[in-house]
Amino acid sequence: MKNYELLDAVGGIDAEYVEDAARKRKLWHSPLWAKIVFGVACFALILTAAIVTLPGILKEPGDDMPPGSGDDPKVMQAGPDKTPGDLNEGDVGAYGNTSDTYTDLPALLSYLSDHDVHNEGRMDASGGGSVSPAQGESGQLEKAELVESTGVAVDTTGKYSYHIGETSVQISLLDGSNTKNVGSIDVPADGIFTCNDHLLIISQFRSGGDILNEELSVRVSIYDITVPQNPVLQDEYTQLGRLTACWMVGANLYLVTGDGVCACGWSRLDDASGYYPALSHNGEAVEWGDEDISILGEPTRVQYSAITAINGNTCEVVVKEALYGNIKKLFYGEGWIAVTAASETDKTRENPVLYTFDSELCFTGKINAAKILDVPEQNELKDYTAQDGSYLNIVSVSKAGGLYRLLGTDMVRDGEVTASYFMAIAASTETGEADAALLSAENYPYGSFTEVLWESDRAIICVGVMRGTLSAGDDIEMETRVIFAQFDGLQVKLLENQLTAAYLGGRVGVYYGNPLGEFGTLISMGQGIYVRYSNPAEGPGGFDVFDFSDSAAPQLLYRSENSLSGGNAFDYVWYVYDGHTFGTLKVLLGEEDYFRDVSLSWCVFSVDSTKETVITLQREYPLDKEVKTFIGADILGYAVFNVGYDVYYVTRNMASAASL
Amino acid sequence: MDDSKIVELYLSRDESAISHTAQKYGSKLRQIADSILKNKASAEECENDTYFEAWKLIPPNEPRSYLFAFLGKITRHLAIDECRKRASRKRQALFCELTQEMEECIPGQSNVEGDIEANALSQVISAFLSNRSEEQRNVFVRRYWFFDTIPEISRRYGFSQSKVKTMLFRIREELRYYLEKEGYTT
Repeated sequence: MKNYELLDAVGGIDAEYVEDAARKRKLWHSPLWAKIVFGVACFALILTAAIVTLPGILKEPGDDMPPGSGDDPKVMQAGPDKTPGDLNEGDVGAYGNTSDTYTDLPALLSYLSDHDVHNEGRMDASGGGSVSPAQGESGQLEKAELVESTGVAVDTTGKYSYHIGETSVQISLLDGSNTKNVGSIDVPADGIFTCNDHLLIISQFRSGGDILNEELSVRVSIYDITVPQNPVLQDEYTQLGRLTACWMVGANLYLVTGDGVCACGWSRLDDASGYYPALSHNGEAVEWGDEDISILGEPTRVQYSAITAINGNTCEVVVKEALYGNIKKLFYGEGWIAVTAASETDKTRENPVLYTFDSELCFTGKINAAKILDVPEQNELKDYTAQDGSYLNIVSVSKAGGLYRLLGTDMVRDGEVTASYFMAIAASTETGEADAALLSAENYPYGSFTEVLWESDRAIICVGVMRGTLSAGDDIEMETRVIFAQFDGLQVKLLENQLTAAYLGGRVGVYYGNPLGEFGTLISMGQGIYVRYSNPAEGPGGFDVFDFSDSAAPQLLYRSENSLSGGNAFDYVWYVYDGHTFGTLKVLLGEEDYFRDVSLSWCVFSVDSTKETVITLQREYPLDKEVKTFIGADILGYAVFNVGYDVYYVTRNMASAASL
Repeated sequence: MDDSKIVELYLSRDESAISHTAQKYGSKLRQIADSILKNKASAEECENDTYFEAWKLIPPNEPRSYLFAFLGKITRHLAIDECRKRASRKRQALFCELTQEMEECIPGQSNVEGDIEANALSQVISAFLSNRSEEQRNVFVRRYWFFDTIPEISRRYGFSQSKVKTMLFRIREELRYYLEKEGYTT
């Protein structure tokens, strides 16, 4: 069958359908506020008719569209004249309240005392992907760029570094080959930043409970590093909950913790204050009132993300807000924070809604992906098992040019048929406009997003797919496909191609990535050229070079052979010197078993897409900081950073940084 | 003049049937042709050819209650044919776009030789559309019968463009599944 034959055959469909489509125009689909207006108008008209004894005239919807309603009723204008409750048929919009049902926590608690859902499927607030992590240098306060914790921070002089060690923070005097350890802070760290003369260390610890039911809290320790090698503890904040994320924008540290407390009658806390976030400053409780709480949608349990912004210069709390809801993921960027929330009971599961906030944690709107995609906002479950419906998952969020960009998946169940799609959405919470694109995932069996690289007008998405079946005897092959989400204002497209790449991950005994366990596999060389690790055996042993300059026609320029042996592998720790040169760590296993005597080398490669051998090893040299580990210890993790033209690396169990 | 009276003129071989047809449906037929061909002169040629074909086809056909659909089908067919003849030259963007969209509806299974009888396929598509909501059916027909653009459909029904695109995407997927079930394969 040819495509034009099908198009031609459409011409011969039932004439009644053609006549209908020729005749019918605007179907009634006005915003709710217009219906309310008409409802009132109808009532007034009837009342008037009754008074003057005229026959009642009921206006049919659609007869009189209010002026200014436009052709696209979904476009909702946000503004100060919008009052809560005058809504709410928009897919996207700025609302006065985050919840149409609850205005404060006591009201929510009152409902949940009889309706709290105990279910295995509840999601904890988890740190989501950030927006193009800006690897700016901590301490630069002139511009409010976003800085993420990478496990190492450098002071404003560029002479001292502080990095996360096994059980403490190590201080190094950076001096090229003469770099040495000059001190330590006996505090285990999960995040570390510098801000002028202050060092901020974020640590999660067990603050109560027992080994089975831990109560976790996060401490922010602020040290005066006027004398860099002799930090002095100046301020300390403690916030109840599990560490979700921390980052800095300008001088402000944003700390997010998550907690949840059962609120049902069975285990309800006697003291209602136990349901509120707990923040203390130097041992004294900081009040957290209802004015610092937002309820998202209609939660089915008490679960919240507490967000606190602390100024790294003044050491004062700038703003704080606790978001209560069935929170799934958190996303953030410069000047914005967003969370997805989706309530769930044993009988229903909501599709996620994205709630957005600005840098002052003021609610700026919500994006209802289900409405944008015209699928039900809620699906039916049977004993927590999904029934027919469309199940959305928002995986990554970015913001550019005032527009939010969402990536995710849509799993559709229809009887025995299950289909899945990748979805991309562009939406404005200011104007209410949105656009969406779907791409069938039929050619991506068991496909899941493994990496998303956000750029100014697109996202590069690595999708891991599984080939083969899980029945006994089948070899399961994993590979990576690369798709692109292209954004042009509110227009969005998903572009696929035939490229394949290696499915990359970690391996036993080696803790890939930085001390926080994070890594990226795509190395941007500029001009659309990307290097990606490849040839995984027990770890990547080679590289692919891609030209992604044209999202519609990406190309594989080069694929190197596996150049490593004996279980040696590269690590996903890299540094780009310039558009043609990058370096990466290589892990070499010693002769002994159980990953003893592991050592490292630094390999510098040149990239030249005009040559037959696109990637060439320029030089390799052993790193004299020998690293030993044992199986199961997984305490490695490396970070590479630069100060000016000097490049350094650290690992968790190194006492000082070392130059490359 | 209503459709039944115009058809009577055709049946009685009264040449004023053409002028009445042109007066009532000329602009709409030109619009359909123009959507495909993107050329005013070609669209007018298509329109004129439509009247010629209608003269030949009535009788034996008597489209008293569906004259526009009957004429529009002829116009579509002529315009698509003209577009295919331009294979060596640049095709119109909308036609390419629509044929690409139609690609998604073509089931890809085992090989089946031979032509697919056009009328039978039309009937299958009609059956498919009968199970769709009025909203979905109208959007599908406006897009693939009338060759409306997404913005035009959006304005016509007061939907957002994203909703129109999503609806069309889902309908195409469902049509593909339906054609597979009905045994239509490439």
